[in-house]
Amino acid sequence: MPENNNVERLIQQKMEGFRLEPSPADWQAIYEKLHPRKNRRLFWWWFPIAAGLLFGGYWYLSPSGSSMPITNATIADLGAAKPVSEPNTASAEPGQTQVKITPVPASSGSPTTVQNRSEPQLAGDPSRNSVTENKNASQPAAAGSEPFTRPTTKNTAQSPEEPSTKAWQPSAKTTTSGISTPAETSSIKPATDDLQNNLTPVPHVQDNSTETINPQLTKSSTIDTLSQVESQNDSLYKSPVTVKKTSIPNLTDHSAKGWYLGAYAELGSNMPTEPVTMTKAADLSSTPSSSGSTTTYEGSGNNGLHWSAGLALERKNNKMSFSFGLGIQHNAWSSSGATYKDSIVNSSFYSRTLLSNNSTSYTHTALEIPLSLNFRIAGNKHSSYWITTGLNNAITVKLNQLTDISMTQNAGNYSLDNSLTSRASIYQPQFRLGLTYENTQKKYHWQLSPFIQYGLNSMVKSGSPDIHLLHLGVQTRYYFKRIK
Amino acid sequence: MPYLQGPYLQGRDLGGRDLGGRNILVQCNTCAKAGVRFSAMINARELVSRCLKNDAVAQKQLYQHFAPQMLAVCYRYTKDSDEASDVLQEGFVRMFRNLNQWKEDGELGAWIRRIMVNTALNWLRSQKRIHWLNEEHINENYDSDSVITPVSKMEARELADMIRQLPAGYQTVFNLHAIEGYSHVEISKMLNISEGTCRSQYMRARKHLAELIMKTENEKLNYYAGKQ
Repeated sequence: MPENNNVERLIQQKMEGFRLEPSPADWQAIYEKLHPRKNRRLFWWWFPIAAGLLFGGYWYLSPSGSSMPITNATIADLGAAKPVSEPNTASAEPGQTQVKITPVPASSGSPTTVQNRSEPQLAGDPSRNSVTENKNASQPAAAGSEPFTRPTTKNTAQSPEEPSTKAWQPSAKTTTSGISTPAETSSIKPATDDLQNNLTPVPHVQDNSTETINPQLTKSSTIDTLSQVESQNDSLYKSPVTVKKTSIPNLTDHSAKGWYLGAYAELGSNMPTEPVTMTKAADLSSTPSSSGSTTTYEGSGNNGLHWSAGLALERKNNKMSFSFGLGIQHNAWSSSGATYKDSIVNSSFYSRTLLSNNSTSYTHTALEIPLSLNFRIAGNKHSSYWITTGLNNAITVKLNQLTDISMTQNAGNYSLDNSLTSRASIYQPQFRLGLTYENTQKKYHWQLSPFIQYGLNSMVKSGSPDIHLLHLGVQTRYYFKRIK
Repeated sequence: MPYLQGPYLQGRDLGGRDLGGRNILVQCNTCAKAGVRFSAMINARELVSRCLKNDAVAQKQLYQHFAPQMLAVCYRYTKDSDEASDVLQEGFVRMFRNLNQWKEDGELGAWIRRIMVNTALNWLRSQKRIHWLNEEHINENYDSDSVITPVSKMEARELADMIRQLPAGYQTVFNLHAIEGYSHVEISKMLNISEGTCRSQYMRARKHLAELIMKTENEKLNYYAGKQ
């Protein structure tokens, strides 16, 4: 800058004091460059750990009986009961597990079964007390049955000195002639008066006096006979009402912990890990003597199709899931090779003659019981990602070999169709590792899982070349029903 | 190392010019968000040593102190704010990665500023916006004092925006010579141009800037005259 130049000096002074505030994104970008995320490597020892977690998770998630707390509550437990004069009523027994509050008279089958039944009770059935009802007036009971008539809602002929009659009176006011439904009869009403009125047990009628039945209990004004009440005397006086305080699972919510039923299918490719090579062509350890010759087979495996399908049950929670299933598995692969005659000519020249070409196709069918354990690694309620480990237990049903051979010497072709089932390894454990994407909707959830799977046993037993299959594929699972 | 008093406690920005081995003012963002003004002085050497250990907190403190000034530098060498942010980010990354080369007896702010200028020049080269023409003979006429009064009235941001309106070559040479204080010889080496070209570019930049300033001044005068 030229000396004694005031303009430059002035500009410089102004620029020295010039500041601009950077955006927060600038530091974020710098930070990410200074502290890059390290790529995690997969180590080989991850596999035994995964296997341990697999079985540990199985024991952790396997059902160990119902762990839901079951409690009983009587009317008194609900704090809504008036003192009941009848003995043995509303006594809770430990261990009882009933679900709903059940007014006893209505619980003898559907209340609608006694709705509007006007036909008389069968005569000659002394074991059944009859309740004859007429909407307008009481009808005489059938012969052989004790007369036990119930007043309709308009019938107020109740003797005030009968406590049981008093007890039923308030609810009689609310009696309707509509059809009762189980939902109505099972509704829990913690309000004290209503509850008491609704849940007061029906008294046991032993005399011939005219008795009233709480119409509210059944909401039916047309009970024909008392036999339906009579037949339940035991339960009526033991536990007219029980309440089970259990959390009823929402079986349509597929994001919750529970058991799910679904189907799966997968498609992929097989790769035989061991080339089907008997002897390498240039294996000089078997170099023929100067006068003789050897026959050498050389071949290699080729990829084939792999598919499987079946049903699966899954137990899952937010962090992990375990599933097992039953399905069928099909594998195909092939190998191609050639047979040579190697010889030494004139003690110095190595000679190879092609004897035949062959192409062999293998098909393998098996039942499979896939076990898998998923560990959630990311995602939200609807979309999540899981690490999948699994052990696929395949049981060989059939192993077939079809060989086409073309002879170069005499130009002949022929095929061999051999069943290798007897030589196959029946049990084929296959270890699987994959990454699963899961999409959870309200009524279903599905998974998409690219995987790699390795057969731990050779496809054929020892004495034959080891053929371990390596599968690469994609599996999809669709869980359509929550069963628990 | 005694802490400096006075200007630090009054919250004046020190511009990073006298921080060699001394203290710098660090603001606490958390406290600022809580509505509490808080600043602490941290020894520059200590902060740098923590940065050398890849301490993210120290790096952020250093960044927060110098970023406004350095962004202003980048702003003058570029044409828009996004470009300035890019240069700022690249410059700070280079600075943190080469912080071990800082000599403790030097001024940290000046050192960072040199890095920023070099980063900006590299960025300009990568953009290939500057096409130099060899101009050996130029009449150096610094008779531009007529713009002193308008410049003294202008805001720094307004002046920086005018510098950005210069053609890229003029802008670069003017920034390097008039503001950073590099000589023409140094600039010619930095930009790989001849000294004569550098001088001529500077004189044209100066003239161009004076015209812009006068034009803006006249527009202001006309605006206010019209209002009255």
